Amino acid sequence: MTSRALVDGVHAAAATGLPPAVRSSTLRHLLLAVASVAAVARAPRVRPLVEHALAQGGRASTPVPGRSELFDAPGAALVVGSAAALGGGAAAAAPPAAALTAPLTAPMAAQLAPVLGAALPVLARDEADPDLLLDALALGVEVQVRVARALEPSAAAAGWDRAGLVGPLGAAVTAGLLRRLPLDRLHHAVAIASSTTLGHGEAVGTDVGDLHPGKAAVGGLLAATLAAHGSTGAPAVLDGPRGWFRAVAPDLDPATTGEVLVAGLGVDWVLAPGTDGAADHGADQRLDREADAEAAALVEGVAPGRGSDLVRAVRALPEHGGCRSLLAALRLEAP
Amino acid sequence: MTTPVVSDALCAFATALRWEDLPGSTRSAGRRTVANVVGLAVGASSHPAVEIAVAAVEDLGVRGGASLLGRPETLGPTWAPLVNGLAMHVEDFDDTHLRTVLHPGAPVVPAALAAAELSGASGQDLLTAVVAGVEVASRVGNALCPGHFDRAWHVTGTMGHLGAAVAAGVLLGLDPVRLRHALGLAATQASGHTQQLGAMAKSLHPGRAAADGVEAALLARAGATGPALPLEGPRGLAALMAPDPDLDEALRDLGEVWEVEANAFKPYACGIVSHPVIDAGVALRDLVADPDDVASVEVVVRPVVLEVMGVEEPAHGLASKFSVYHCFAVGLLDGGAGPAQYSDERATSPEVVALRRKVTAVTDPSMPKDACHVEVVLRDGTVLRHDVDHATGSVDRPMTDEQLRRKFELVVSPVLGEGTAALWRAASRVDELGSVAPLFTASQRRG
Repeated sequence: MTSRALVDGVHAAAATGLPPAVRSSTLRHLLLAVASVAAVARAPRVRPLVEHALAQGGRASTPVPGRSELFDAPGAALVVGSAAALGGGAAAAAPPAAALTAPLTAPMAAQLAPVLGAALPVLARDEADPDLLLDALALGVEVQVRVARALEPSAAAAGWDRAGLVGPLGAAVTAGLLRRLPLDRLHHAVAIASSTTLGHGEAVGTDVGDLHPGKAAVGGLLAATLAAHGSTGAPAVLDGPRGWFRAVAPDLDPATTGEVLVAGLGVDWVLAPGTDGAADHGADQRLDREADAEAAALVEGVAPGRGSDLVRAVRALPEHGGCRSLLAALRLEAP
Repeated sequence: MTTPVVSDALCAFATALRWEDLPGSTRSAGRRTVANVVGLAVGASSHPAVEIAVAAVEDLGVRGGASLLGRPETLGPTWAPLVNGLAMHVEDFDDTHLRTVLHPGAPVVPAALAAAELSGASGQDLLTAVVAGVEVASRVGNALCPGHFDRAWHVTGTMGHLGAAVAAGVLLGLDPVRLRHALGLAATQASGHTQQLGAMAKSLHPGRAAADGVEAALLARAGATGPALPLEGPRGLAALMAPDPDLDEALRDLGEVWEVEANAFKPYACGIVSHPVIDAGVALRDLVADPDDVASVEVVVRPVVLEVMGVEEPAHGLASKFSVYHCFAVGLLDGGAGPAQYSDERATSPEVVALRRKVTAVTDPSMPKDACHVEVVLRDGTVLRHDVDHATGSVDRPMTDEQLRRKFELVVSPVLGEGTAALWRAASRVDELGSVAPLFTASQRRG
């Protein structure tokens, strides 16, 4: 049951902590993702989602980058996930054919959309160690992209929008790790999340398609929360005889598909390819400068004077004992 | 021939449907569909899976004014249906559209209840919307099944999304175009696979379908737009989720043949494909003086029974609902198969375990869906044979209104006691209510 091995490996990696190069890269991508959300959080295309989320009347707890209001947890996940994908130039703006490979080719801000959407509500709920945040985000993306790669040979799965299709699995991993779920609970979280996947290619390019990464974030967040409270999903949920792979990709051999899931796990990193986890300080500094400038420019476009504040808040994460100052900075309000 | 406008046609049908259009038999089927799952939701209102769902949703900070059946909490209108739908399905005691193996009540009714509560709709409006939702879910299911089910999709989770969106959209006053947008929002979220049978995640499927359906209707009402061809487009629901869809089936005899009338009500609290085997166990009970006398049992069933009900050693109650071996054992030992027969205690009871280990299952592709053949060999060599041609609760042998009322009382009376009768009156004649408020009120515990 390689789908179990995937979750086992992810949980073990989180327990030992990810290599510096992966954390460094994840921090850059986190910065770009929150800046991407901020850049579009007040755009007309996002407004209906914001209004819908605020109308639900839940407990206001979670900030959305670029918005002054606080949202309830599902509302924040919905808006952040969808806005991160839109702001990151994700598949929604591309024709369906381009959308099919989006998780492997789109800007990383888009790939982070479901996991970031699931992460922020948990950060608002529980004080989290910054390293755990980075590891949870990186491992959520790792799961998403590994499952997407496993599906690549499938013609049957080709019509799905990958952000919706694999996003809930990554979002459940991120939210579950941030909630410090034990291994058996994380298995249940991923299993439950497999019943929340979505994303018909037909909807890409419409308002409905915009929702895919946001709903993926909500699905993963819900799955992790249910698992934390004791809910259960099936074992072998991806590669079982009536599992998720059979449903979305019946033309694939589950054994081969399963091998792709775990090949190089813990050695090859989606967010730090080719590094084996070893830091390259020179390259990191250059990439950091580029990311900082891009993120600041994105924010300055909608909140003049606040771009450098957001960059500083994200960059300060590794030195802080918690993530509260980051959450405060996301609202882009003057000190 | 493929019908290119199935989404629009179904939405036009649903938005045009009026109470006055419904034949008496259709109204009756709608009433039975509502009453059955309302009772189940109240009966399961303290089930561990329901307690977990409520705790999780509250943990997420969800609040609002939408009611739960049998529970005092209120949640947001897109979350109350999740809990109500989960509660309706968690005992696997609900209903089945046999052609598709769709359980339509659990996704459609809670979505309709939440939308009716929001809009102040009457009981007649509610029932009309439920019929519209069940028609759409069942008919698209007809178009996609059996291939859709064989691909491991849980039809209640997938088609349930469509029915929930349609029921909620009708009650929220969407026009056909807006309803098509809602249908698109729901279709892209159609999810749930049958590996989850025996896990709590299975009952989440109709709950999410109901919740997503209401959300889809609300977003569409607010102006969100979806694809023009959510069902029939080249990357739409039919193309992605079934190997051999025939969308003409979705529109066949629309408005003349009512699929809600083919919705059968479960007499037993488990996967429906095992119901013939339980009937056989119940029938043979009087011929077996002592279960220890049984040497072996062979049940001949349709192959799908072992595909979805093949759990040989269920470790807990939910898993036992998917064990044809357990089903036969409790049928013979207990003379029935209600929720008590699928408790954790009964799943691990020594006498049940001993008997079910004597059961072997043989598959026969020619065996009808609602039939089976059973042979019991006693230790003295006696062979007892029993054939079930049509299981209790199947379309050819439906539960009567009186049987349905007794089932309602079985699950509700432990929760409501003397209040059971009042809830039955409200639920079984919901079309006589001016709003759904009295239904929710009657579902609450007193004192």
